Amino acid sequence: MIEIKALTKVYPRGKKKALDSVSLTIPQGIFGLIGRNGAGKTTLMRIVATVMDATGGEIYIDGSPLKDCKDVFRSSLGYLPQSTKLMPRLNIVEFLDYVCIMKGMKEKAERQEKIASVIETVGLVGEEKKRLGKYSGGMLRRAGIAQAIIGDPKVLIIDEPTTGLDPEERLYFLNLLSRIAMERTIIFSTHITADIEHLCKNICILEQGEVKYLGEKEAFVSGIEGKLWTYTGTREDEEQLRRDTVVTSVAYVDGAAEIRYVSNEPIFDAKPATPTLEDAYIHALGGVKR
Amino acid sequence: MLKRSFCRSLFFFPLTLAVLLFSTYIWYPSPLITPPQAAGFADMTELVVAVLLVAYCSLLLPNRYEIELSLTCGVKTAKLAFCRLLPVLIDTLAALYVILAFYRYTPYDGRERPHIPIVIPEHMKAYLAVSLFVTTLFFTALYFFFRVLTRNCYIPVVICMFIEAVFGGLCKDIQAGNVALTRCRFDPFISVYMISDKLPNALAEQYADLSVLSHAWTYNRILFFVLALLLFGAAYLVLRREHLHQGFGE
Repeated sequence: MIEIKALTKVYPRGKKKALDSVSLTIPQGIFGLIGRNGAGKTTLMRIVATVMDATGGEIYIDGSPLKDCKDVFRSSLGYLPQSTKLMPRLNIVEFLDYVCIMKGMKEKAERQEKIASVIETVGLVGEEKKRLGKYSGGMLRRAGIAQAIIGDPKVLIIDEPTTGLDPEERLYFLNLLSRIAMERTIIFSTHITADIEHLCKNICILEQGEVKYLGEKEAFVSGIEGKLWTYTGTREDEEQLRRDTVVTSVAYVDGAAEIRYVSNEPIFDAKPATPTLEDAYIHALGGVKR
Repeated sequence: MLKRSFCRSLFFFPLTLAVLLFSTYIWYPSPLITPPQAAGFADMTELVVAVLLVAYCSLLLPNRYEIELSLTCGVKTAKLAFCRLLPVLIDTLAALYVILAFYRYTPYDGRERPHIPIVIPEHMKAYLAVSLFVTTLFFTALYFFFRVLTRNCYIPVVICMFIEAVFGGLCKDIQAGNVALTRCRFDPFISVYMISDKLPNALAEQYADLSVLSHAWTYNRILFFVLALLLFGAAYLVLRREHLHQGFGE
């Protein structure tokens, strides 16, 4: 279990806090971290991954302060950064071998065995000779996951892995993630709510460096149950709903606006709708932008 | 990691060898190098090696992804950069010495031995080694500092080339006797010939007592060695203080 207490980060030239007294507990399983771009997700991930120091606050790993057990924690940590710039001149085997060496695996036979195993896990068998520079976005993400899980770490930190992937690759990646989640703690950050809709039990919503919501996903979504309505009307109706309620989505079909909004009582001739994580998330952020 | 880096950087040895051979052949097709050319030969090889090293650094310095990855594996950024750059530095300098030896020992058409001993007199070899080492260290530190500061791999190359051009011009002025010799204390390109007995005439006439040159050379090498260390230190502090997570840029 990872406990984060009053974590604060201020960049030297930053005008505001990137993280402002963030406290949360991350249990075993896949933990979803959602937030807009610039909400502080990557900063939080980097601090937990020991890549960067916090300005204040403390992180505890199974009850011990992280600063006292950094090396032990690192040996049980896998990290997939946001950047996909792996090492373009290497092939997957050379790349993973390099990672194994950095992780301190000295036996060549052991390394080869682990490399073959993770390549199979992430479905890159047959692509071993191709250079990483020739890989597609999805393949690069899988190569990234391969480096993160090599050495069988107990904690995985995965930063916005599905950005830029096509739907098929995205689904493949999410399925892969749920496969490797057994007996691991995975911190999964994204700004795409659909990614964690069926993947995470516990979520945290970050907004401008602060925790907006922390808890079970179902409880978060049920917060707007019975308050979400859908209505098809004109642009004038949309303007009124934007003024009087929290609009979570607007789609224009054949000149009409299909509007989903949150309100205690229906306005106009609206029908009740089943809330999704996206509705609850947009509601928590104060409504959809124009 | 170091062993792996050595194996992977072996390619840079023949590459440097080829570039140096080509550039020396373009500039001096005849191995019969006479004293005025000799000075240029040493300058030119220094310059080519410095430019090559800057180019190799651009290619090899770890990117942000590698730095983040290495940090989570408990490998410090400085160790990562050191393991990456040390082998290529050795490969490049080894290629340089092979070229110098080649010019020193290769007979020319069977007619006459090349006059390379003029370029590097036997007793001057240690000076040349120190000279090259300090110049290389200085420009590597300069590149490294601006790379960290600007988060860009092209701007530092332009800055290094500009400074090389400025100092190169100063070097030529000193050689021609147009500028006071004391100025050579502040030029990283002061070459080994400045303290040899094969000075350009303009200088030899100007200074009867050549010990002043020797002192200037010593002062110069100490100055640029200290400057290089300061630049490395400043780069490290910038990296440590605010941008560690960004590493050396993309």
